[in-house]
Amino acid sequence: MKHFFLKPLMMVLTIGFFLTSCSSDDDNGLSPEMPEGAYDLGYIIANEGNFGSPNASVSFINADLTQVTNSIFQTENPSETLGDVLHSISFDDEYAYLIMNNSNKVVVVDRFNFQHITTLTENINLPRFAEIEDGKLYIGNSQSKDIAIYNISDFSYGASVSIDKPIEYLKAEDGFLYVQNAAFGQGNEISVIDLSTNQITKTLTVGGVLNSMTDDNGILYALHSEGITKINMSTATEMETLPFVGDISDASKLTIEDEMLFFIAGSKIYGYDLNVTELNDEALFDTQVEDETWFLGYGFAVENGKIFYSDVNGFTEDSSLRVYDFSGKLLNTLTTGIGSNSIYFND
Amino acid sequence: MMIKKQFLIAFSLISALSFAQQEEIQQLDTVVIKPLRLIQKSVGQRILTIDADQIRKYRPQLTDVLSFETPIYFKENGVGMVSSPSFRGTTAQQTAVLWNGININSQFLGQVDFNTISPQNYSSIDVRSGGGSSQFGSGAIGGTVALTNELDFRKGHQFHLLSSYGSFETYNNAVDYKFSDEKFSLHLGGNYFESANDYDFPDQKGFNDNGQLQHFSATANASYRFKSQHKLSFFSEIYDGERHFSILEPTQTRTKYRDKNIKSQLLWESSWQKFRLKSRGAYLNEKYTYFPQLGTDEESTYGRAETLIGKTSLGYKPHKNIYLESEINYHYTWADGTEIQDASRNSTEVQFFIKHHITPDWLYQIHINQNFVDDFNAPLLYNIGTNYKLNAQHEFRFNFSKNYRIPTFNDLYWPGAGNLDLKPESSLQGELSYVYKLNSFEFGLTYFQIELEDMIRWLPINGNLWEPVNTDRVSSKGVEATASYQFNIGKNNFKVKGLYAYTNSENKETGYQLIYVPYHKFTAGVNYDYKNWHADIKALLNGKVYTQSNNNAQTQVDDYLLVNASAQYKFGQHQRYGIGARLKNAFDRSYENMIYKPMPGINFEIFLTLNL
Repeated sequence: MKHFFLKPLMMVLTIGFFLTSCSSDDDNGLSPEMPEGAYDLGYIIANEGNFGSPNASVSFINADLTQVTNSIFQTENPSETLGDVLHSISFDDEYAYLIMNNSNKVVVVDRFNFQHITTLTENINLPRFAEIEDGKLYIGNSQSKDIAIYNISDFSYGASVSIDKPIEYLKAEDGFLYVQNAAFGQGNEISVIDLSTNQITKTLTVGGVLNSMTDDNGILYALHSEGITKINMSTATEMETLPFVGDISDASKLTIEDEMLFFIAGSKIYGYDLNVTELNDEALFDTQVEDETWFLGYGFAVENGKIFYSDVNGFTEDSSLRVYDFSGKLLNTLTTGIGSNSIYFND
Repeated sequence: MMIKKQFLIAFSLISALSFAQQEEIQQLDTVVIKPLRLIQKSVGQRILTIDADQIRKYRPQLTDVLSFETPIYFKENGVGMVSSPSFRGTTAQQTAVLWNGININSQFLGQVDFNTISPQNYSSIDVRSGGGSSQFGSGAIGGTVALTNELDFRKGHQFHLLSSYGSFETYNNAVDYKFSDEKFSLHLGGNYFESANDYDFPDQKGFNDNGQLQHFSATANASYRFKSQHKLSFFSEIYDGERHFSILEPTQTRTKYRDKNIKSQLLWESSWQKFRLKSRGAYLNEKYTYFPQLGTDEESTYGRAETLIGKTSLGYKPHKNIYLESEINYHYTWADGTEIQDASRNSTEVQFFIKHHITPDWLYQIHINQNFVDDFNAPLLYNIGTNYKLNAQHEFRFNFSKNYRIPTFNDLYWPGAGNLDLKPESSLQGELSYVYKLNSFEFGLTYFQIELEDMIRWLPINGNLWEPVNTDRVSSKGVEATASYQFNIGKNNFKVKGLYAYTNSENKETGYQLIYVPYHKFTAGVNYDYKNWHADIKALLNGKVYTQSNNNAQTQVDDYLLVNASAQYKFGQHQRYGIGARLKNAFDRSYENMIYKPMPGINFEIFLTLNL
């Protein structure tokens, strides 16, 4: 979902692989494919665990999807407990920030070896997502309905910005933080915070019930019940709305990868070229996973040309993570932890 | 709560002073009087009875006493926290709890939280395994727990006080006062319990943070006999309890939960010639308040349900071997709260019952029930049972029944989750028992099987959002064995008993054992009396349980053995005063009852008793 580094690194990687495969005596000093730690150059899976139980965990899957290592946080930090509901993970160059929803904390680890660095607890109340911008960590608190700001340099708490509305996805760009004020099928607003003053400068409204947001190239894409609204992030102005055409309902989990927009609706996966003007109801493919609707696609991501779709088995046992290519061919099914909700490529 | 505590202490003292002078000294009667037995109509089934004396040996929350004395398995979310039974492998909602004959399962949850009932003022608890929906309505699938306040006559004044102090700043005070003469019987009782409950976790860092709890309960019951054939009785009880919900990390949100329950009931019993009339009206009020974030002004949420019950039965004995009865029940429940607005439900039940002694050693019963309830088509329920005595030692019993459970208000109306398309759960079940008696030795063995359809399960939608659905078919079968023996060696009196339950409860789609249902449960108790001394040992072994539906052995909760032991010395005239000490988890076993909820290691209490 996050790919600050993905594209340049993918290019480098591609070149690296190319070189490796072409030349056995690659000694030109360009060796970026060397992992910086045990959990570099592979997929990081957030398993949220059961609500009310300290069984959140992190899984690592190697790049060619052949090997799953579960509970990597516990393995690397046997004296620490990760906590209760790992809702999402944010990354910067050095660290991974594990957002522990029902533990009211953010666990900071080295992103490459998952060694525990510190745990943030001050003014954190049922956090869900976080965003990093200019050396600061912005944590969205769903209970206190505010955003806690931490300085990454010394992990000190700085300030909180009250939003007083539901808080979901956060996206930062050009000194603005875009805050999704919609959760659990209610709300259609996005607050815009000027990060130089920490004041809400604008509230944008989209056409339908807002589900999720992502950004690419300075454009915010907001998925709602009517379609996808594009917002220019440097001016905080709406550019256009790509409407749904035909029969798409309950679309969720918008993500952008390989110049394509992806989202899911139940068991179906939709993908569109980034510059489409409308969203037809022709799915890329149907995973045909059958389950109660609310379980379908509990975790969904597109990374490295592969589609990840988790089956959480009702949270009563470990998840099955399915991996597809864009044509819908099932490449692999892997067993991860309880409630796999997000997938990131670590590079 | 402070005021209540003072009131209790004052009440204890005044009562103690006034009745210490009484000439007629009455020992507290621990013999349960047969004719007032609450669970009748149990042909083909078996009943375990726990008397007041045994009840008071446990923490004043129903979970503790039933864990050690019955085959019911409890999952308790930490000591004193939410407690759910699994009876014969069924869910918590499939155990019916009766208070003086009235079903008190929560209208919201369908189950009783067994840690919100203070048992110390009941005269007995009867536990009947097996189907009972035709008699007690929705929910009686695994079994029935009947809480009874016996009102006896011609006993004069009786007073009982129990006061204890134990580890983790745990205080318990229970008082009972009874008075009865030829025509009138009165019982007043109260219980106050509080505990900091901040035990250290054995074998790991941390302690039970935010686990403090307290409750107050009071009961007033009375009965008046007009003539020998007519009796009017009144029962009432209030319970006010507050529990913080323990957390595992100090950063977690501190919450608490408050329960306030009021129960009251008026019962008229009459008999003339070959007829017997029983008529009752009851009012129940349950209210919970949840405080989702302590220390802030975050608003609390609540739910309140009130129930009016009218029940009338007419019995007729056309012949000395045959008893016929018809009954009509009416329930009206209405509920409101932050989550549920003005929900209500009407339910009318019609029952027919026949009990027939074919020979003095062979009898059978047939019980039929049709419920007419808003929104659902309830199936015709029945219960057929027979007992056959081969001779004085050997007896066989058989029972077959159809039972059901209707969805609760939460199942139907919880915002964003309630599911109006739910069907009632229904079960077909049978059991066969063998009972052996010789002098004071008694042994019983039961095989049971329950086939359950449309089980309602709450499945998570999104993290902490859940929705109920009719999902699984479950087949539960098993064995229950009980044995008891009483004997004397000189002046040493021993009462020994043991119980074993094997339960195989499987989801028929997957073939896996249901989560939190142990295959094995074993309990044992020894009571020893010698002159002024009393000692007892109580043991409980809960077998391993799975916590994941695919029976993942890595996340199972291991089996554990708990042993409690106590010793008491009684002194004064008629051994009125007693002082004693109790050791709990005597082997300091480190265990969990639910996964990730460590329970306390060895702990202690001292107690005083007063019987006048």
